[in-house]
Amino acid sequence: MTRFLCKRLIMMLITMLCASFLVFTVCEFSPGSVARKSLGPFATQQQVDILSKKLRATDPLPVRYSRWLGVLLGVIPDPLQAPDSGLNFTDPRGAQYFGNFGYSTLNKLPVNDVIWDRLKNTAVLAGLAFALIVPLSIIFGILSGLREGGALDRLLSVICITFTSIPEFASGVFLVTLFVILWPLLPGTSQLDPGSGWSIPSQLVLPVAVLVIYDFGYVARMIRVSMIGVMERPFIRTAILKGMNTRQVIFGHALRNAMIAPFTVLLLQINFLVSGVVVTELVFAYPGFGRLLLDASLFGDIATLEAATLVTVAIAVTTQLVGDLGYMLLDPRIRVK
Amino acid sequence: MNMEAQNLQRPVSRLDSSHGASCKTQEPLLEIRDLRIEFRGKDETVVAVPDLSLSVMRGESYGLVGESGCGKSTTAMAILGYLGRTGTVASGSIRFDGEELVGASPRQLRKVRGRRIAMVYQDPMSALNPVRPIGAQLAEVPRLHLGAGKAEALEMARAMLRDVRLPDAGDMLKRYPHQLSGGQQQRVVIAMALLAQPSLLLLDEPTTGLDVTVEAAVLDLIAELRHRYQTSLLFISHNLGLIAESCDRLGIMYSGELVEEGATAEIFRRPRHPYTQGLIACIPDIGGDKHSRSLAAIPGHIPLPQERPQGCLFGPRCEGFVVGQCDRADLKADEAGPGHQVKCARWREFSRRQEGAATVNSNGDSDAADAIRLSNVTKLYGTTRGRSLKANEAVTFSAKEAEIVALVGESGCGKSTLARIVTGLDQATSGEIRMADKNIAELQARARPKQLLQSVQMIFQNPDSTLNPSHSAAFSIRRSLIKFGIRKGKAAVDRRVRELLEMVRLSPDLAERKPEQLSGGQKQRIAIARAFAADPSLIVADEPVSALDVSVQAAVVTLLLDIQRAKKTTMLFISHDLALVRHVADKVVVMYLGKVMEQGTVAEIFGAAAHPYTQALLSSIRSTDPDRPKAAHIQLQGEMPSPVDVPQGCRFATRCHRKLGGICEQEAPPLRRLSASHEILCHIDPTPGKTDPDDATIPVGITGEPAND
Amino acid sequence: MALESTVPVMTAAKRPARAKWRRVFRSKTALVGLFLVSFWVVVAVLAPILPLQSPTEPDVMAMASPFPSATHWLGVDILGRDILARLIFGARTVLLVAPLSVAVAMAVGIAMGMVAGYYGGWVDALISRFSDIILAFPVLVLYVVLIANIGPSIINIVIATTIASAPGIGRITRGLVLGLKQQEYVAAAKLRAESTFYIMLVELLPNCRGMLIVDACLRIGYTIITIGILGFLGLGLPPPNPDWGGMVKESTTVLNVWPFMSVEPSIAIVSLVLGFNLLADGLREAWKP
Repeated sequence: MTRFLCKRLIMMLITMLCASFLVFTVCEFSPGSVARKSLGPFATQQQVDILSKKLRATDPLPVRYSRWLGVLLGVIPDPLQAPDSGLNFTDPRGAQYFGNFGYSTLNKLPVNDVIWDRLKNTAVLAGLAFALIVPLSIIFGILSGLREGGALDRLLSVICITFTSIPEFASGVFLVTLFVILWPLLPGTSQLDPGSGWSIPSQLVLPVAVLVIYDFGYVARMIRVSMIGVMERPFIRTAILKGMNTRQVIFGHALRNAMIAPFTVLLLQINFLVSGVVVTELVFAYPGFGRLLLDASLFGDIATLEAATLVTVAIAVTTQLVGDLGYMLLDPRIRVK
Repeated sequence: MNMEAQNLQRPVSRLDSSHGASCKTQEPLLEIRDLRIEFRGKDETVVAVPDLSLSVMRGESYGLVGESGCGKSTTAMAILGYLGRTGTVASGSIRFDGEELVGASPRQLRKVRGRRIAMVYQDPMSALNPVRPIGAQLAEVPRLHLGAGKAEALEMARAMLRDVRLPDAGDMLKRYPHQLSGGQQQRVVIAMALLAQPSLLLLDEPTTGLDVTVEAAVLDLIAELRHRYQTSLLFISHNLGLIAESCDRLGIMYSGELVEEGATAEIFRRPRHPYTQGLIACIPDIGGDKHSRSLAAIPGHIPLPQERPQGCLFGPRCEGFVVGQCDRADLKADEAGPGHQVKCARWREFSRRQEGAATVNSNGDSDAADAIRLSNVTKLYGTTRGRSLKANEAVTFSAKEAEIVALVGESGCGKSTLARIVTGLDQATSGEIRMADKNIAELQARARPKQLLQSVQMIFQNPDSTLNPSHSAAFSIRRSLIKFGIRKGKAAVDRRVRELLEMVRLSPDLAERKPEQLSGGQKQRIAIARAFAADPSLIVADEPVSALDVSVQAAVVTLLLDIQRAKKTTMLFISHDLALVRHVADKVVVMYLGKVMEQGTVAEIFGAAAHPYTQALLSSIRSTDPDRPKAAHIQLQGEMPSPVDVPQGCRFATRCHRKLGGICEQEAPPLRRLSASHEILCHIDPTPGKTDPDDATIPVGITGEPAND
Repeated sequence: MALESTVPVMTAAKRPARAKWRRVFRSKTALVGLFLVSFWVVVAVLAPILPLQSPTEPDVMAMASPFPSATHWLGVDILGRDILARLIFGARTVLLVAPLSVAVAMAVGIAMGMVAGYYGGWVDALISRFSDIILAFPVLVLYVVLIANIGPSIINIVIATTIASAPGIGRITRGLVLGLKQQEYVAAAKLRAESTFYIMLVELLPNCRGMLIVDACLRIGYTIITIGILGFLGLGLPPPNPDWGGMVKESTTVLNVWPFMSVEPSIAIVSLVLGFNLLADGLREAWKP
């Protein structure tokens, strides 16, 4: 088991490295880009060239990447934070420490001062949404899959398919129109500002609703398919012909088998919830991680972008690992000896 | 009600409950009368069972025999009220122990299921929940029906596991189904069925899919347990031989109706219905070989529910069909003897069993050259941690031109791997296969020159996957003709396709149909046509008929033999069915766990088998001839070892019933030549005089008498 | 020879041949989906000849009261442009880009999956590892990062979709191929010297058709949503091409007075995506064995 874990951890690290390298390539491909983006659009070409030279930006890509990695690991100080670069990027933690993601040009703060707060906010949103999605999708999926083609199945399926067809900005628009404009029950924006007159929880209702609406239908359909597959399996017939009633068959035999495949799917929703919420955050002006990513991309805040993607990928591979471990726990057929 | 574990071992008086004749005066345990089962779909209603009547007495074992689609499994499901959403009992009655089951409420059904009627299924692996331990699944039965608590139920489960002779009962309770072998899984299913001591046990093809020796053990177990618990059995199978030896009475089903019913011995001695006679004639009889008798096939096919004719359902296929007599709608069952019912208008006129015509003796002459010779062919797969899976080791045998060599063995013996190596789908690790002066052992298909590929073709096992479902049936035949350059141009190719289809006795307009529209037998014939399209000199047939119905098997095998004889093709015939092998082969090679245990001509193997494993295989064959003395079945202990963990010394030592002792476990056995063609791999010296006179198992032929070799 | 013992086997047709496509019409879900999709396709194709207002020219006079009226059936947007016309012309873009992107992604993904599934070994490991890395990025992040850096245009959206979707398609194909390559007809093909390319294209691919078509429909739906999102984020195709997502975005500023300006394009998107989703579901139902 430990061997398996070690192998997986190494694979995770490699994946994260490759992913961040890809992002690095896309962002910093042209040598002048970093300097240009750090100095802003009004800097002269001469200033850009001087800074580029200082950053040794003409070095080949892998070298530049390892330099970034070195800064991150605290092995070398961030050249952009050097006092003589003229950029005034100061970090109270120093220019060289483990976990130094660099300096955010957009927010005029060290990346570490920006990213974790935003992540926390999104985690709140994601957590609440996840807490709702899990039970909703399981109930919908199982009730649908119990009797395939039955009236309940049809009704629930229509609801699920319809909801997955509504993009977040559309449902945001619909919900805001209904609950903010026509019946002013809830706030139209959720900036998490306690002084805005709306309680924090009420500010969370609509964004969470939008997330849940879009996502639970998809998971419910997956669970439905799994449930239908399980109900057709011969061991269900064995259970029924042993004299068990429907409830006993479902809870004793069907459920555990039906949840094996969707378990990973459910976990993968965490990935979506953490970074795919950018639209929701935009609609409701929510200070979250997704908006951070978006703004960084649009503005050209490379340091933040690279940091955010690395965090995203880290979360993704972790959930993958947890998913696989859970899979092994649920299905004795694939346990590592 | 608390039941102690000891209560399971009730003292049982051996009543004469096993003889159906004496039970006629009692009330039948299960009585089915005029049963009609329909499946009502959205646009059409299919009548699966139009009119069925049968009864099972207490303590008796009733066999329900029929080919696929005859409705026997549907009947079993109807008894338990489990016909699915579209299935319904349209009319008729099913009385169990005085209670009417048709129309019973779900609550009533739940009281019966598992408690008074229990079921044993065909595929035990999928009948068990893969994610729950066996103990938990077993314990559900007493907890549900006998009010037992958790610990108590587990105790009962453990006692039951011991009853079904599973070793290490305590440990077994914690294991998962996939960790058990097929035979062990089936024992668990049987244990689960018997835990609540039902009065009736339904067995739906319980041993199909199990190895022959495992099947024998399971059947013996069922026989023993049935007497111990005094359970009646409804034994559903397509295998007449099995039913012949396991059941007191039997009923033959055809397209949803019972065409003949009676005591087993009586039916086999004097089968009255033409269908019964036809079925018996289809079965390869262990007493004859291909030179004495050819398998008689029943022309035509089983009618689909919507094709059922009026009157006798078998009429369109019957030689004795008489218009006006056999197609009367009021055809009823007649009594042909005490307890012997026949549904035939003219049964009195069919008194003799149809014997198949003797075939022309045209085997290859013994001076023919070797068409293919295998020497020391070995195939190893490397697994994790440096161990190797020994799929084949040192396999050596040869086949002469126009000879049919049968490779026999149970699952895991390596015969399929060997087939793949010979055809080039796999590569041998070492060894030689000489064919036309070339060593092809390590030559894979894509490396072989076209001529060589053309000369070695294969007929596969599974008719459902042998043809590509997205293309027409004849598509692959055409491709073969084109790729090998046998015909050029569309017209010539089409013409050849027609010829080939006629050769396999199929109508040419099947060529453009999709495989899903063809029956299993038709698909296999196309597979045969495809294999012969390339005009090969060697054909490897890997279980070509195992997936087919009995009557279809006979037709296809006869066809294959006819073509092979006409074209003088050498054939490697792989099968697990020894009776069939006797009818097909000239030479037999018996394999176990990757090694050849014995090889010889058909006469030598079936007349004077010397290897203990061969003897065990032969003893598990069940015959339908009631007058043949029943030799005791050799029981093999233990399970087949895994090919990754091959035992030292003789591979068969762990299960051998004639083990000499330590030498068998430690030393590899020598190759002994008993004649020019007969070899065995064994420590026991089979020459007469050398064997211990007290040894009760001198090489015994299938006739039950010691062989003089 | 005892050939007379058997009579030619009667030709028993097991099931009447129902073309795969005709089965589709038995599924109500598929029909509804097909209707929705066809509606937009027809409307988009006929756009130039339909009697519509201009989608790009603002109607300054209507801006006084932008609500739906006789001249502007769905009203006008904040710049005075007719919403109905913009929706219909926007459909043209969407119905061009989304299926095109998915088609390219399918081609790449199927190739990847086939090769990985058929050859196995290190080829499979390499392709799967590579796919895992891409799949580790939440899809939207991928799009945003790509488009923000290489700029929005039809080609770039096609590229972004291919990069984002091909691994998933590859994984589905690989799964199918792993099962299919064990089938006996594949072995039969090998025994007649068929090339690997032939086996993949002629023997394996047709049997993947069903699942892949269903997946393609779902993906087209999802791509439409993504294009809408990109438009909403400001990364959509540059004006004046009417972009449904962009239309929503522009109108959110006046959501509290003129919600219809955002609601109408939202409904348009939902109806089209719903059409594809229903079609996919219906097809899956109809083709179940």
